[in-house]
Amino acid sequence: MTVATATMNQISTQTQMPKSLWADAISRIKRDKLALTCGAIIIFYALLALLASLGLIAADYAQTNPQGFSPPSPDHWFGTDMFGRDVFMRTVHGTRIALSIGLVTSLIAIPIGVCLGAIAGYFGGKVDDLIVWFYTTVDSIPDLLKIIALSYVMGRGILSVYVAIGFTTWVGLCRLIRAEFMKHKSREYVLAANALGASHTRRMFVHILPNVFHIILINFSLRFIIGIKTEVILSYLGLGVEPGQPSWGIMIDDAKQELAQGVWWQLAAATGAMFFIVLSFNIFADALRDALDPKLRNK
Amino acid sequence: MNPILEVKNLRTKFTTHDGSFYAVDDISFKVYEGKTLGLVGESGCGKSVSSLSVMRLIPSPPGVIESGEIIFKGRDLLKLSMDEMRSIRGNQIGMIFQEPMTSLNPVFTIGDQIEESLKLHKKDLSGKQIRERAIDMIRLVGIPSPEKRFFDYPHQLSGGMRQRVMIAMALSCSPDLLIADEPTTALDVTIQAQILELIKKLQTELNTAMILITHDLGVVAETCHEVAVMYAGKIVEYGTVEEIFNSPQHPYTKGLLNSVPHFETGSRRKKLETIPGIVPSLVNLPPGCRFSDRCGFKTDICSKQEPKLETHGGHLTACHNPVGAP
Repeated sequence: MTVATATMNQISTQTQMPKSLWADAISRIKRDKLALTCGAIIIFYALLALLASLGLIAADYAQTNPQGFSPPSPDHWFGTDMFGRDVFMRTVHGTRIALSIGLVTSLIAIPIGVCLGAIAGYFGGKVDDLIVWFYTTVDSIPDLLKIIALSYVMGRGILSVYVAIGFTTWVGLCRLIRAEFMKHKSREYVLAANALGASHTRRMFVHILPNVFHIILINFSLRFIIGIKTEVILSYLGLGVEPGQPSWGIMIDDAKQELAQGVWWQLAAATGAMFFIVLSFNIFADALRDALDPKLRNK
Repeated sequence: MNPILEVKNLRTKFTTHDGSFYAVDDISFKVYEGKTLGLVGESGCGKSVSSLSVMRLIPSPPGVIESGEIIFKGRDLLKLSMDEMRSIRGNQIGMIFQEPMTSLNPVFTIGDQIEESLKLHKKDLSGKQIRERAIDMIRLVGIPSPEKRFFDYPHQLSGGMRQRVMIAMALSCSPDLLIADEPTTALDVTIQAQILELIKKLQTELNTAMILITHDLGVVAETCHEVAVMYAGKIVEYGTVEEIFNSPQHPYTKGLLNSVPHFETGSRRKKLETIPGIVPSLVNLPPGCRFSDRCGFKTDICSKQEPKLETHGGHLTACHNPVGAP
C-alpha cells in the first residue's frame, strides 16, 4: 500500500491533474483581460477598506478645519467639505462602509436564501408550499418599503442598514436555489447517493449544493452592487448610517445643498468612487457567470 | 441453504391522478448467497419497483409499500427505521443503476465518490485506509492506472468506465447483496459483455448474492442461476435458469423466448415472432389472468379466475393452461 501511495505521488507530479470546474473557471477568467482588470479594481478597493479600517491610511479623516470648502489642491486632492474635512480621506473610508455592507448583508441573506430554497426544492409538497407562500408574501412588499420600515424600527445606524438589507433581499436567490434543487433532486446521482446510505442533509448539502454553488457565488458578487446602491439611497433619505460617518450616501446627501454653492468635489468623489466599484462588480460578476456556466461556454 | 434475502408477498402501491394500482402485486422470491436471481419482464412490469422496494427507495408519494415482508439476513427491512435502513444501504446492500452517464455526481472526482460509502459506513477506517481501499476498488473493476484515475471527473470517462465506477461504488463496502438494475442497458454490446463478465467475476470472488434486473434473456442465460419472469406486477414463472429456458410453462415466457431473434447462417429469413397486443394498463387490468387477452392458449377460466403460482413441469408457474415443453 505504501507502494501505491508512492506511485500516486509520483504520478500526480508527473502528469497534469484533471481540471475541476473551479480550476477551469479560474483559467477562463485569467484569459479575460477586462474581468481581470475589474477584479484588480475590486481587490484595490478591498485593500483600501482594510487599510482604512486598521487606521493605516487616511487616519485623520475626521480632522476638522475652521476653513471649509477648499477646492481640490495638492494638500487636499478632492478638496474639503464644510467642516474642512478632507474629502479624499472620507471617500476612502466610504469604501470601508460600502464593502462591509455588501459583505455583512450577504452573510445574512445568502444563508437564509440558500437554506429555505434548498429545503423547499428538495422536500417539495407542504414544506414547499409554506416556504413559497412565505417568500411571495415577503416579496410582495417593495424592498425599499421594508428596508425603510426596518430602519425606523431599529433606529438610525449601520447595524440597522445591515439587518434591513440582509433580511429583505434573499428572495431572488431563494427562488433560484429552489428551482435548482427541484431539478437536481430527481437526478440519478442523488438516487445513487441515497442507495449508498446518504442522509437527507448529506444529499442536500454535500451532493446537490456543490452542483449549484456557482449560482451562490454569482449572486454574492451581485449583492455588493445592491448593498452599495441601497446604502446610498438610504443615507440620502436620511435612514442610513449616522450623519457623522464617512459613507458615500452621506457624502452625496451633504452635497445636495453644497452643489448650489458651486461645491462639486464631494459629489464627484463619492459618485466616482461608487461608479468604479459598481461597474467593476458588474463586469466581474458577468465574467464569473460566463466562466462557471457550461451552457454559455462558447467564447 | 438459507436465503440471504427473502421477499414475501410484497405489494407496492402507487397513487396517481388516474387512480391507484399495484406496480408490484404479491410477489415472493428468495436470493441465496453467491447466487444470482434474474428478474425478467417487459418495461413497466414492476422489475425496478421490486428492487427499489427492497432498498426502500420507492419515491413516496406517490409510492408506498403496502404489505409483505422483506427478510434480509433475518431482519425484516420494512420494520427498520430510516436510520437503520441507511446503515444497510450501500453497506450491506449495494445497487448499480441503469444510467451510468447520470448516476455519478458531475462535480466530484470518481475517487471521492467511491470513498463516499466507505466514509459513511466504515467509520473506523482512517482517511489513508479509505483512499487505499478506493484505489483498490478502481483496480478491481479493471480501470487502468487507478492512482491517476482516482482524480478524474465523470465527464472524462466513457460510459463503460463510468459503469465500472458505479460497480466499484456499489461493492466498496463488500455488500452481501448486490442489486443490478439493468446495468448494461445504456452500453453498447461489446461493453455490455465486458461489464457482465466483470460483474460475474466479482460476484464469484466476493461471494455476493445478486438480483439482476434485465429484459435481455441472453444476459439471463449467461449470468443467472434462478429466474423470475414478471408480467404486469406479478411473477408468472419462477424457477432455475435451466428449467425456464428448457421447459417454459407460461405462454408469456414462451412468447418471450420465441421473440429472441436468431441469426443462423443458411436459414431462410423468418419474420421475428412477437407477442401480440400490448401490456395492459395497471390501472385497468383484465379480469382473471392478466395475460389472458394476449394469450393464444386462453380458455374460459382464464378471464374468470386469477391463476396461482403452482408447480407445473418441475417449477412454479401461474397459469391455468401450462404449455409444457416447447
